[in-house]
Amino acid sequence: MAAAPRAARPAAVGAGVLNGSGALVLASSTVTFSNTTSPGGGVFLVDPSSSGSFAVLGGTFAILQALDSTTEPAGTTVSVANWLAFAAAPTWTVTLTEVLPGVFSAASCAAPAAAGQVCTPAGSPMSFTNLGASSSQVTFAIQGTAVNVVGFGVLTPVTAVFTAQFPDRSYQNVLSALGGGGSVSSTYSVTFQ
Amino acid sequence: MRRAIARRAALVLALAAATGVSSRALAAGLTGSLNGDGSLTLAGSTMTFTNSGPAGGGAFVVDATSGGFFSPLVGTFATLQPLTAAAEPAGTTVSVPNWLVFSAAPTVSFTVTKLLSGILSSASCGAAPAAGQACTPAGSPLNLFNQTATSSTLSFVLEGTLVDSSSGQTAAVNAVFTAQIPTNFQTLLTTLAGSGTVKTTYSAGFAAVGNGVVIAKAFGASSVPPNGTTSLTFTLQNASPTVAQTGVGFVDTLPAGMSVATPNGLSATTCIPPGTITATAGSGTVSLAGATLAANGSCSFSVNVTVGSTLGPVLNSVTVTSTSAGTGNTATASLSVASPSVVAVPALGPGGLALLAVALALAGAALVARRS
Repeated sequence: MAAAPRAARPAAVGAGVLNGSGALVLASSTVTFSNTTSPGGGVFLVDPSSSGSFAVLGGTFAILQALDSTTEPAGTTVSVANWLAFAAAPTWTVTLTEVLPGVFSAASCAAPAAAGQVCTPAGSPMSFTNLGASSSQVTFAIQGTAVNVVGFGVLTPVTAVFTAQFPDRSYQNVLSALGGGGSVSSTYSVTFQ
Repeated sequence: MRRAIARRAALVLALAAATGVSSRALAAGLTGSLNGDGSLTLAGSTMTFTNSGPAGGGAFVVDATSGGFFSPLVGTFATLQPLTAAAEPAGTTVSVPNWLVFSAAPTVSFTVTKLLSGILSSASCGAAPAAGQACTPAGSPLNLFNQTATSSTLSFVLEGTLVDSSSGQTAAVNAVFTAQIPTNFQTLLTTLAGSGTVKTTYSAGFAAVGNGVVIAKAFGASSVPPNGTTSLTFTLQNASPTVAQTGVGFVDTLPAGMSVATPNGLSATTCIPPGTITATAGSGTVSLAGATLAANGSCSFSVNVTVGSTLGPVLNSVTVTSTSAGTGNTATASLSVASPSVVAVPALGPGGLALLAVALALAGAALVARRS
C-alpha cells in the first residue's frame, strides 16, 4: 500500500536530519538498495528520528537509485538527478553529486583477518573495518543537493553516511566474494544531514 | 504433562495475539542469518532501541535479507532491551535473558552474555576532527570513526545465546550493530558528556560464532615401531553455513625424529586446486597454502610419515589460518613409538590341547628311550 502524501511540508527541503534504514547488496562495482520489509514499499524507510524538514516523513518510504563505480566513480563530480525520491513528497528529490572516496589505506586489505584492521581498496568509496577476525563493518558517504522543485528551487547541500555490518565475515572475505564476481547483502542505516 | 504443554501452548498463542501477530512456523535448528534495523538513542551510559517502522511495532524490524531459521520472521518485529553501562559494562560477562524477543516467535529469544569492549585506541578521541580518525573511549563498547570532518559512524558487538525454549535448542551468536552520527565523534562525545542524547538509525546482524575454518588431524596408527611408517591425515572444515573461506592453509612442523616418508604417499588431495600442498620426502614439514572452502565445505589429504627411533609418545600440533577468517583452531594428533610386541601364542581349543598333549607325550617317550 502506497503511503499517502502528506499535506503540510516546509518548502526548504534538506534542513534537518534524515535518518533511514533498509537492505543493500554490495557487488564489485555496484551498490543496490532493496526493500527491507513490506513488499510494495520503497527501499528506504524514513525513520521517526528524522528532524527538521524531514520530520513529517517518518514512517514513509523513499527510493534510492543504485550506485555504480563506472558511472559514479569515487571522488568524481557527477550529477544524478532524482537519486533519492520520497514517496510521500514527490516534489522533493536529492541529486547525487559525488560518491566520496573511502577514508582508509589499502595496506591491510589483503592481510590475514584480525580485529581492528581497516581497509579502503584503491579507488573505492568503501571504508572497511574488521570488528573481529570474522566480523566487519563497511561505511561509505555521498554528497548531493536536496531541492523542492515546486518551491524556489533552493539547493541545499547534503551529505549522507551509510553503515552496514557483516557479523560472519571479515572484510577480506567480503572482498574475496566481490572479487570472485559474487555479492554480499546486509541491512544498512543512513543519515542525511 | 499434557496439561502443562497445553497451558504453555495457550500462553504462546495468547502472547502472539497480544502482540498482534500470529506465531510463524519455524524450521528446526537455529541456523541462518538474522538482519534487522531500527532506531537507537545514545546517552552517556545507555543505549535504548525504539520503533523504526509503523507505529505499534517493536524496536527491531527483521529484514528480508534474513535467512534459514529466521526466514518466516521477515517483516515482523522484535523488542530489544536497553543496554546500560551499569548493568552490562563493556568486556564483562553478564546474563541478560530475553534481551531480544520476537513478536512472531515468542519462544525464541536472545540472551546477552557480554557487551564487547571497543577495539580502537582512545588516542584520537580528543583530537581536532578529521576524516579517517578512530576512537574508542576508555572502557567503552563503542568503535567510533569520523567518516568526514562533520560526520561519524559507530559500531558495537554483543555476544550471547539464541534460545528456542520450544525445542530446547541454543546457539552461540555474535551480533554487530552499526549506526551513523550527523556530527564528528568529538562533538558526539561532548554531547554525551554534557548529559545530552543522540538519536539515529541502526542496522544489526546476528550470526553464529565459530564460523571460521576448523582443522582435525590423525595418524593412521596409534603405535608404530621405531623407524616405522604410518599415514597422517588432515581434514579441514568450513564451519560457516553461508560464507566461503579463502586463503586457507597451515604449516605443520613434524616433531623431532619424524619426517615425511619416501615416497610421501600423498593421497586424497581434495584440498587442491586452488590450494598447494608441500610434503617433500625426507623433510620435517607438511604445509597447505591458498586453499578455498565453500560454505559448509571440507577437504582432506594424507601423507605418509616415518617416525624416529626414540621410544615413547609423540605429539604433533598444527594451527589452521585463512585470509578470510584469520587464525582458526589448533589440532593435535598423537602416537606411540614402541618396540614390536612379543609374538603371542594363539589360543588353543580342546582339539589343539589334545594334540599338544600327545606331542609332548611322544617327545617325552622319545627322550626316555634315547637315555635308555
